[in-house]
Amino acid sequence: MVYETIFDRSKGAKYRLMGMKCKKCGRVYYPFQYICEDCYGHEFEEVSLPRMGTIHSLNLIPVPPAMMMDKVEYTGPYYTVMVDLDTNDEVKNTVRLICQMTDLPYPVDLTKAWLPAGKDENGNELPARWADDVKIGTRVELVFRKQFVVFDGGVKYGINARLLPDKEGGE
Amino acid sequence: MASTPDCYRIKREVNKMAAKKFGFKRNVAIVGVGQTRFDRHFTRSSPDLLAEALLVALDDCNNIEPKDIDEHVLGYCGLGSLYIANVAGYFGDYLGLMPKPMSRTENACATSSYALRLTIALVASGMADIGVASGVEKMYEVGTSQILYEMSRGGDTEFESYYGVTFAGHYAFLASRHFHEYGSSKKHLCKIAMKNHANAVYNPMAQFQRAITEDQYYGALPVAMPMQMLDCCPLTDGAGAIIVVPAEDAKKYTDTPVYVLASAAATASLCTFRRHETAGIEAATFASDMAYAQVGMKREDAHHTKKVIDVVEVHDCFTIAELSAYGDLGLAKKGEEHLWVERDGPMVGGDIPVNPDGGLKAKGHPVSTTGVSQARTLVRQLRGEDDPHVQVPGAEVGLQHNVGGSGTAVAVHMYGRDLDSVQKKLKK
Repeated sequence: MVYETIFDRSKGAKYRLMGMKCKKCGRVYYPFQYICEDCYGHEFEEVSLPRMGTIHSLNLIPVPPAMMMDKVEYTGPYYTVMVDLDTNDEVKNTVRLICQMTDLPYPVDLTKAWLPAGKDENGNELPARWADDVKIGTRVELVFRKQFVVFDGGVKYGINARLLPDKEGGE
Repeated sequence: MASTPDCYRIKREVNKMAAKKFGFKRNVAIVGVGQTRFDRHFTRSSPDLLAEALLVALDDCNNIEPKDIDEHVLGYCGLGSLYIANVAGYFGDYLGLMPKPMSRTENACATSSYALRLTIALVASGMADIGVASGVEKMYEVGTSQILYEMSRGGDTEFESYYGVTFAGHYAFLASRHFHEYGSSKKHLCKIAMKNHANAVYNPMAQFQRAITEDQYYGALPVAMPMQMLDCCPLTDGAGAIIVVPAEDAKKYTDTPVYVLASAAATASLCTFRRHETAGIEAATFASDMAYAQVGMKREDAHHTKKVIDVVEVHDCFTIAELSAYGDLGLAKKGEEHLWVERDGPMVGGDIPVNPDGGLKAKGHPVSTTGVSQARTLVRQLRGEDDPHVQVPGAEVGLQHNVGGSGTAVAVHMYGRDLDSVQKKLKK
C-alpha cells in the first residue's frame, strides 16, 4: 500500500522538475540535498532545471517484474535513460536524472534497438551496440507524462524524456 | 569522455580518511569458517540453515564450543521471508546462544561483510574474545516476481524504480556507459561469465556446478539490455559463519589462522544518477583506497603486475560489476579492465585469479550470506585447502570486495597468512 503523501512531498521535483541550489556555492542538486556535498553549506533554494539534455546512459527492459507491471506505463520493452541536463545561467553544473523514454512507437522492437555483434560494410568488426535512434549522446527533451495508476485508481505522473521532434521526421 | 566530475570534496575526504590509517587496537584472526550449500532449500528454515553453517564453522576450529561465543553479529536482509522486527532475537533463540549479545546488521548485498566488519571491531577493541559473524538469506521463500520487486527496493524507489528501473537495470546503465567510455563489450562479459562457471565446477557448495558455452551465453533471455540472463547471478538460499578471535590467541584454536589485515568501507549515493561516476562503482575505489592505506600499500601496488595480491573475491552480481571491480580495486588500470580480461589475467592460473569459487554468478548470491562466503573462500585459499583445480599455489594475501545495492555501500577486506604478509611481498 502506498500513501498519497509519499508522492505529494516530492511533487516539486517529480512533477515540476525543481532542483535545489546551494546558496553558498551555487551547486545544483536533483532531487533533494540538505547539506552541500561540495562546501557543506546548508541553505538551499528551489530552482527550475533546464528541460533539454543528452542521454548519458541507457538500458532496455524487456519485461518488468510482475509486481511492477501495473506501475509502468509501457509493460512491453521500454527504455529507461540517464539524462545529463544542459546548463544555463542559473544551473551551472550538469545535473543528471533517470527517467523513462516516452512518445516512441511502443513496444520497442528489441532486436532493432540492441544490435548484435557483426561487421560493417568495410568488413571491420562491430561489437554488440545500441541502434542509432536511441543511444548515448542522443539529444532529448524532458516532458510531463502520466507514469502509472496506483491501486485505488489514482494517476501518478512524472518527468519523461522524448526524442527531439526533428528526429521523428522534421516536425 | 570521462564522466567523472569537477567537484570533489568526497575524494579529498577519502584521502584524509586514508591518511589517518585506521587500524586495529589489537590484531584479529579468523580461525573457523563454514557455510551451507548454496541452493534452493525449500524444506529448510532460515534458523536451520544458520545453525548448520555455525556448527560447521565451530567444527573447523579446535576448542571452541557454542558456550564460548562472546558476541554474535548476524547479517540478514529479510528479503521475502520473515516479516519480523526482532530478527536477532528470533535467530538467537533457536540457536540457543542466550544470553550472549546478538545483533543484526543490514546493508543490502554487503550485509554480511558489514557483520564481519562489526565483529572484527568488537574483537579488535577488546569487547569480545570470540566473535561470530554470520549471514543467512532465503530468497525462494516467495515467488520470483515478489523477490525481484523487493530486490529493486535495494535502489532508490522514488526517483528510480518509480520510472521502471529494475535492479539489473542499474547495472545495465553501468554496462552501457562502460562500453561507451572504454570500449569494452559483451565478449568480455561472456568471458567473465564462462570463467566463473568453469571455476564453480570445483566448488561443491555452488548452486550451478557446471560450465556454460558461448552459445548459451549469447542466446540467453534479455533481462535489462545489455544484461542477459547469463550476465546475472541467481536467487539463492544459504547461510555462512566466520569465527573471529584476537591474533595472539589464534594458534590455540587452529594451526592455520588467517589474519585480517584491513577492513574498510565506503558509502555512495543511493540514486545511481547522483553519483559522479557511472562507468564504475566509486565507493569501491574509496573503500579500497582506505584498505590499502591500512596495510601500508599504495593503490599502484594492487596492480596485477606487482604480484602483491594473490587471490581476489569480487562482487560479480552482474558480469559488468566484476569487470568494473578490476578497475575500481586497481587490479587493472581503470578503463583497461577488458584488456586484462583479454589477456586471461583474472583466470585461474593468470596474474591474479579472481573468484576461484565461481563468484556470485555461479556459486549463488543469497544476499546476506555473500560476504561471509567470500571470506570463507579466501580463508580456504590462504590455508591452501581449496580444490587443487582452483587453488592458487602459495597464496599469501587475499582481497575481498563486497558491494551493497547498486554500489551504495562497499566493504573491502584484506586477509593474510601472516600479519606482515603484505610487507614481505612489497619487499620482494
